[in-house]
Amino acid sequence: MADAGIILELERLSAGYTEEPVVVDFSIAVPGESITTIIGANGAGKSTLLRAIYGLNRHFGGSVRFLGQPIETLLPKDRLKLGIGFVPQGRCNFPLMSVRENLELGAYTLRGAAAADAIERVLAQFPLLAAKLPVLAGNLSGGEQQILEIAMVLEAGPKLLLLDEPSLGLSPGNQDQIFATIAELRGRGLTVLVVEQNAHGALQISDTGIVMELGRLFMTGPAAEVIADPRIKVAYLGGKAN
Amino acid sequence: MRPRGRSVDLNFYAQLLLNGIVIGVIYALIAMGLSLIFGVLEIVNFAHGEFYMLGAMCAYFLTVNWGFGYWPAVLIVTAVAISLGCVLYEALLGSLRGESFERSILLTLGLSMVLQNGAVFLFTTTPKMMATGLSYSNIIVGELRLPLSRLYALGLGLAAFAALYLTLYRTRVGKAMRGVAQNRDAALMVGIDPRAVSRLAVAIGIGLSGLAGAALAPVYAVHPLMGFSFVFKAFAIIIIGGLGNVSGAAIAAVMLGILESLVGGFLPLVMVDALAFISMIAVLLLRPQGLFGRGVRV
Ligand SMILES: Nc1ncnc2c1ncn2[C@@H]1O[C@H](COP(=O)(O)OP(=O)(O)O)[C@@H](O)[C@H]1O
Ligand SMILES: [Mg+2]
Repeated sequence: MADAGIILELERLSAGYTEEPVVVDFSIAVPGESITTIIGANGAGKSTLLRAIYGLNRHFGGSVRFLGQPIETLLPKDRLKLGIGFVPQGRCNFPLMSVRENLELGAYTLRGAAAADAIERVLAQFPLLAAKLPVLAGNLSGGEQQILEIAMVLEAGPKLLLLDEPSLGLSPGNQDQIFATIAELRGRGLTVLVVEQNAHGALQISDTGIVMELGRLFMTGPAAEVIADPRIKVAYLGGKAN
Repeated sequence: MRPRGRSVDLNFYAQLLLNGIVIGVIYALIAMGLSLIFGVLEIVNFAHGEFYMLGAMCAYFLTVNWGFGYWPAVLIVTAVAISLGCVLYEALLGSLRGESFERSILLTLGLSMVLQNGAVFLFTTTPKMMATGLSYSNIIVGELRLPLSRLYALGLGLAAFAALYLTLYRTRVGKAMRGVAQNRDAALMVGIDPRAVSRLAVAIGIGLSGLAGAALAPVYAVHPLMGFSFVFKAFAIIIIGGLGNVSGAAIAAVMLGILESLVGGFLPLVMVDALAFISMIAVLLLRPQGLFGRGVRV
């Protein structure tokens, strides 16, 4: 891990939807050019945490600092312009538009030549999309749609990428491809914060692991330690304690 | 009373056809505005027809009381309607996001009642004709006598339709509007501000309604209840055309306009108004996906 300082810092962040916060008193510091995997049971609040970092749900308290700057009050589009990209859980594209139109909207925060350049760049990075430009996004396979969605967000040139269960519902081969892509993004200088059900696959390429339980931080440490922790093995990695 | 003689007959049918196309294009504008607002905001705007009525009423006052010409009146009414759309969004619809569907129905129905009764108070229920020089001018093509007021309304309707289509499919902000309608999360993901897009959708929708009212004011009688039935007819059109299928709705609207006009040439008016709903029920029974298939909203 190249040390590039702390890119994202949450301090006692509480966030949620209606009355009670779902994510409670959550504090982490994410170093630049790293991959961090968040695991936890269904309903633990992993998606809520990512959505809060991108500004999609109600902020109850605490702070979110990106490159040292507090961003809790910014709209999602402004967080994207600052350099935070978010790919939500599940299919998240414009199903009745072609891949080309989806990529055009992916460059929504850019203008003119910068938008065209961004589209060229991601097409070079993901050649499979170049072959599908006229196809409606809704007619792509699940794996292709996931790649399209990541590409759309990458167009804005984020420094920090938040991915919510990118391997969900994909074939094992496609899952491997997603993990390889994530590792490659770190090589290009991005920081990735990824929520994964496939904990083993994700932790293997990660620098840091975070375990969430009931909206709170349960444990965090180097990915290798999290994989080896007996409690985690039993609960999330389908293994037996010792 | 039906004129006799072959050429007179032809003239009569051509007249009915033109009338049908004109009213159909205006139906299309209203249905498209309604479906745009529904697609982007997930709100059924029951007050939509009232803005058609207000547009016609404003055009009446501007021309008859204040001496404006037809074109300036249409322009002013459209601009006012667009601004009203922004106000409507900021004051009422914008705060509804995430609230219950029932709440939005009650709110827009309530607004519809308020606007209708306000109009009755200002205007009384007596229908009035917006009689300008235009109302009596005709263009003679061969043996056909085409009323200028209808041709103008047709031209305005087609221009607005083309502008809306180009906006939705060719401009950045139009694509963003379709994007929000197709997947709101994806729109947020790429940095679209759904509030700005929603405000614009309401402004365009209400603007189209106002424009339709002003364009048709010299053709039909203006009265406070003229808008209310329009919403329901617009629903029928949207369902006939295929829910969310914009061009389907436009074609269904023109077909309904022509059908109404042709049938209206021979049958009492009350039966004409039932046509939309009879067609809707028939479509729901025989082809629930609509004549032209369902799209996903806009
Ligand atoms: N839109 C929502 N409105 C209200 N509560 C929600 C919403 N989405 C999720 N929740 C609640 O927040 C909790 C955490 O959900 P989530 O963050 O999706 O968990 P995870 O991603 O870890 O499975 C759950 O109890 C869920 O019921
Ligand atoms: Mg989740």
